[in-house]
Amino acid sequence: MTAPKVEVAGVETSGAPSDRPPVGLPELARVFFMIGLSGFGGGMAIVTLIQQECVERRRWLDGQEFAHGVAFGQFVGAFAVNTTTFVGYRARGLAGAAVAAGAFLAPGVALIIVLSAAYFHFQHVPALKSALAGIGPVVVAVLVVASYRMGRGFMSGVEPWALLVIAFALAYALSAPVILIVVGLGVYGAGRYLVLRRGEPT
Amino acid sequence: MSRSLAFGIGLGGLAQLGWVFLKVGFVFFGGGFLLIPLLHRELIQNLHWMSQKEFVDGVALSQLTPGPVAILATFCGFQRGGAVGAVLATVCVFAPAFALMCFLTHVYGRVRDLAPVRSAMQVFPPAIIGLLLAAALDVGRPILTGPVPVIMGLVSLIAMMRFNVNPALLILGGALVGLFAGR
Repeated sequence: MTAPKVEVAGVETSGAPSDRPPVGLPELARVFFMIGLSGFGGGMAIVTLIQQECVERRRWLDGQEFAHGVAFGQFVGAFAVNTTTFVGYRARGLAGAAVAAGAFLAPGVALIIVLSAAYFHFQHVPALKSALAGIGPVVVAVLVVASYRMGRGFMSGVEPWALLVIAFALAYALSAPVILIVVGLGVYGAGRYLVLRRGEPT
Repeated sequence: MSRSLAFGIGLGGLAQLGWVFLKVGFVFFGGGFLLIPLLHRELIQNLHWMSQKEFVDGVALSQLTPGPVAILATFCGFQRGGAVGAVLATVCVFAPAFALMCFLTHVYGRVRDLAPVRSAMQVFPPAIIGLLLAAALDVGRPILTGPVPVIMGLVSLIAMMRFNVNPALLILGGALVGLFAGR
């Protein structure tokens, strides 16, 4: 989850590089559908898969350009979908981005819809009920491990720990709306940047 | 199978569903796992659309299928509005990030300095950990009620942390244990 350090200053290129053959929309759809189908493990595991397919195998874009896309993708939403959007947009503009993101999400969405239909239909069958009772503790462990892995590389100094504890306390003890906590964090982050910048000698 | 009929909740219900997921999509920063505390708070504690139990099972399903963790939104959309609700929820939850990503890619090359945004975004990961732990504790309390579930949770924790075991395998293992223990 750590944001790779990417130097974006000095990048001059804009639009698809002319020395590479154009990528067709059907090919974008096909490649990202396959990535979506095999992309288990979420987030960075999928980003690595996209890099192998689009940068190393097909050379749709170079490694540096791809690293910039990954860095952009850290700002909002799911990393994997964002990186997909970036590659699609670089290849074929808005249509490319929509086709790539759609094709990438399609297998997972289709599979989840089928599984959800089965789940809500058979939820109360005793055998499935006891099987589902067994997965509860595993899911709790998955969430704890996810938080631990997110923290690696971020949790040094007082500020990150203070943010962790405050966010936890607001959400858990005070039951504050998570949406408001996230908005508040954005405001704090922006204010913090302005204060830090003022402190720097120019 | 009334749930698979999308219009079981009507057009107004679908509009409300879309709005809830769009709202969540707008504050969806810093990676897929934030969606877990966000949806948990909105769908279970605020709107009472689904139970804790269903939510936990949805997280498990999102781990079993390919694609990002954020595909949990698809499950939650299905629970409310069938297949149409599932697709609508997915589109709405990803739409704001998609639009922003297209914009960033479009101005790519003209953006000279990402340092301000990166600096502001630094505050997110630690807070997301806090939010995720709060959600884990919320869903964990009714689950970890006796020695068996606690031991199962600890074994899963050790398997993932020490031995890097795939969570999907552990979820299937947990289901098997539950199946035999439930007899």
